[in-house]
Amino acid sequence: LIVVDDLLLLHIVARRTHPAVDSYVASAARGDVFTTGSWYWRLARAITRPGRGVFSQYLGTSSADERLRVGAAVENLPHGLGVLSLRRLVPIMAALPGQLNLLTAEAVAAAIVLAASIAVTTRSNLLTQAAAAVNVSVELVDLHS
Amino acid sequence: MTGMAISTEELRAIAARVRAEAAAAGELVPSKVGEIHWDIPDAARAAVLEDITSGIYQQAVREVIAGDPDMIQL
Repeated sequence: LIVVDDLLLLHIVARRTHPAVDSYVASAARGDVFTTGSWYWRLARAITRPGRGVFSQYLGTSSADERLRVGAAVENLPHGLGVLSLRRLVPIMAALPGQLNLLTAEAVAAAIVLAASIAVTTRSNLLTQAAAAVNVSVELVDLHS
Repeated sequence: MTGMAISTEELRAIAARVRAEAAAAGELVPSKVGEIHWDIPDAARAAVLEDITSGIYQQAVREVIAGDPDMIQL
């Protein structure tokens, strides 16, 4: 099992064809991919943020029905992708050693429960160190190659 | 979030209990297995792909998490 960050999750659901992403897409089809509530929330906020993005422009020119459909898609993770609730994770998050922020604690706790590794698209010393302290491995996915 | 000073054995015990509860509730397996299907129009999906390859999405994340240390991958 693998716990993925928001950008990798977005690559998976949007079916981006990329050598660094393909194996995660295959894992997701087997039901082996989870994310966290924090990463999912960050994705939902960022993707719908009004701005210069193509997706933002698309939403701005879409019909009300289309916007509703897209909104529902963002609000509901596709079946097959897992998220553990904070009801499960907080007891572990509270027991983790060190000074961690919510995003990091939730990711490490989810990986512990799932006996999973974590895959991220951005190098994070805090996450790497927190994961290492409890023997969770972190993979850095290079989306630029 | 500050962790309590507990032993590795205690953390393992908590994790085992939580894992058992989550498994019993069916939360460790997906509700459906198969190709991931995101129910959005093709044009919307194409727009998302353009934003993640151009870096627009990553910029939006930076704006979202600005001033929110709980959402930062430090």
